[in-house]
Amino acid sequence: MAEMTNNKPIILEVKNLKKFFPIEKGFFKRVSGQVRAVDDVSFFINEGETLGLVGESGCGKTTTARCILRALDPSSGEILFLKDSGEKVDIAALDDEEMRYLRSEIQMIFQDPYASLNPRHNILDIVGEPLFVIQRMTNREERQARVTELLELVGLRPEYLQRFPHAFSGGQRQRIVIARALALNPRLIIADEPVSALDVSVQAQVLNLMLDLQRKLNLTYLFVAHDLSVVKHISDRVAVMYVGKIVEISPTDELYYQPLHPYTAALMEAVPVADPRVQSAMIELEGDVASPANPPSGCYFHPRCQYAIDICSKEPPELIELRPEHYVSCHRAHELNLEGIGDPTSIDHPGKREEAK
Amino acid sequence: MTIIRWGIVGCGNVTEVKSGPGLQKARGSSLVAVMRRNGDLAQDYARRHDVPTWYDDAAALIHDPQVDAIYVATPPSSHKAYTIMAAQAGKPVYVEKPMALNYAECVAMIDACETANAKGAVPLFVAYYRRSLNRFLKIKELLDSGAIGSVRFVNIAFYQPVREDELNPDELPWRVLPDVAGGGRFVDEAAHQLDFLDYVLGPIRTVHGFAANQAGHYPAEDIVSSVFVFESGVQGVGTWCFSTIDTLDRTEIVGSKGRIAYSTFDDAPITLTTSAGTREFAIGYPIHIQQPLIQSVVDALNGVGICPSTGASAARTSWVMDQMLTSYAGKKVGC
Repeated sequence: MAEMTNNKPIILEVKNLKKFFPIEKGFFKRVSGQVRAVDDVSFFINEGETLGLVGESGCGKTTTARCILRALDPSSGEILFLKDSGEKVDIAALDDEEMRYLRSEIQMIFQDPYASLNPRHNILDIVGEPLFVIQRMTNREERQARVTELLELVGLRPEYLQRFPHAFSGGQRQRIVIARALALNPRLIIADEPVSALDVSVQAQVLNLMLDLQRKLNLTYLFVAHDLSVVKHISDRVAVMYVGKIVEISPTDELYYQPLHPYTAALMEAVPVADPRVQSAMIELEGDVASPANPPSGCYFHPRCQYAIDICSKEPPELIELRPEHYVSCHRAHELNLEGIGDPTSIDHPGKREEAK
Repeated sequence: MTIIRWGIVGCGNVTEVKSGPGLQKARGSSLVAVMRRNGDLAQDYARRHDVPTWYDDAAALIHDPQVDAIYVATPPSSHKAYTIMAAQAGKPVYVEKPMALNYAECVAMIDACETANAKGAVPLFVAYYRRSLNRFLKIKELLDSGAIGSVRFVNIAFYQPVREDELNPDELPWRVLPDVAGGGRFVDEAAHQLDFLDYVLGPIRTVHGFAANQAGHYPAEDIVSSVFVFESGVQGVGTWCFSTIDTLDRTEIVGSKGRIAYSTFDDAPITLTTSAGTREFAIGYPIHIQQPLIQSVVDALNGVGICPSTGASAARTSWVMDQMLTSYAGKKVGC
């Protein structure tokens, strides 16, 4: 799947990534099975690009992100990262010391800015900590100058340096988190639901800040989210996960306009529209998400899929490139004519619409 | 399913048929070691029951890495020490009833199992096996289904003659020596009756008892009379006498719409009397009477079920018996 596109090199390539968690039961915690949280996932991200990773809760998107950061050790697979030096390394195979230095190039933005900032540290210490720990920037004045610069970069005033997290709003806190992530001049930022804890009015500000920073600093984002409107706003391409597997990857507009996988189409259906005249015509998903501890045979989505046929319950579909740069894992993708959200220029209101009668 | 490998501390009489083969026959369970202070008897038990390892030292069995869980089948006076030793070794414990000499020892055992091991708590189960026998589950089913309406009171009458081996003061059985058993035959037998009532009617809140030794054959009490009230408001009365001419084993649970009468130790049919008449339920006992409860212990250890008899539930029964025996000087009540 991986190739250089738009003349930009691939900065991250995930190949056949698996992360299985053992199921331990009883007092002796003996393993009785495995949760296949990430099950043979492959994708790539070009430098300067934003790849959205979407799916329902528990589909494995956060686990994938944590494996890339090596916050979790993958069960198998490769995570190839193109370092600033031009060297390509397999993150999955690095030891702790090697990861320590690589982490200056890969940073993470967490979901909850209320939980990810130490309430006992002021902003200078919070944002300056990676400079001290990773870059050994022991000179406090030097560190303060860099933190001041970072605060200005994310739209915060330098006089906030001595304040503590409780003094900030949710949006401001997430700006602090972003400033901390930028402290080491990373090239890849993994943002795990970075705006889902924020008020809707603040979400757009943070998203626009991320876009602005991407343009200024040539950042690459892996943007993990469940909100399709948010993902649409920021992503160049989108990967859709279901029960640990990627079922579709495509350039954003095409995915929203012409989804190839029934699950993707159903996800779009789930996005609420703030217009009482708009009526959905698509069939809603029925049944529960399959258990990653005991997934169904064949295509994991087949028990909930209205288009499922015999083969769907027997053989797992391959992820194939059905259209240029548009990959899908569905036995019937070539024959289904799924409806997306209409005109790609109106994607800010996802979901098929009909005027209410 | 994971196989739980058991070791028995004290492979005496109770383990011959009631429990030992149950440990071998329960699903996911095996008996891999036995211990008795008399090594010849331990070896003999191991040979007869096809157990691969025997010991004459409890610590050696408890610390055997091939042993996952410990069954303490000694008299009550050593339950506490062996339970604490097993807990400190990080091994779950299944201990014979009554749980200990008194309630204070029960609390110490529970504390040890909750805190003694650095890896965390170890489970503690007690062999009140009637909680898992079909015969008694039928009674629970009748009560839970409202067959006798709201339960009003319980009446226990339990009489037995003096046994022949209790007539020789120089060779008294340990079951009538309070220092070893925690009391007399009342403690040994009423424990089952009271524990089952705890299971089906909930904890007893208030207890008054009168205990004495009327026949004078041994140091322990031989008669106990008690009135008690459950947390639910159900009232109870019981008389246990171990120097009568004949035997009576009858518990009656009386409700607003009927009554259930049953024997705790023999297999006489359970009777249900309501306005529709009297029905009988003849339900016997399995050969290895502890096997159903052992199965629940094994399932709980494997994380696929729960055991209805734990240290916490068994300690309540010890507390009730302590209260019933407070008037008897031979009883050392811990708290």
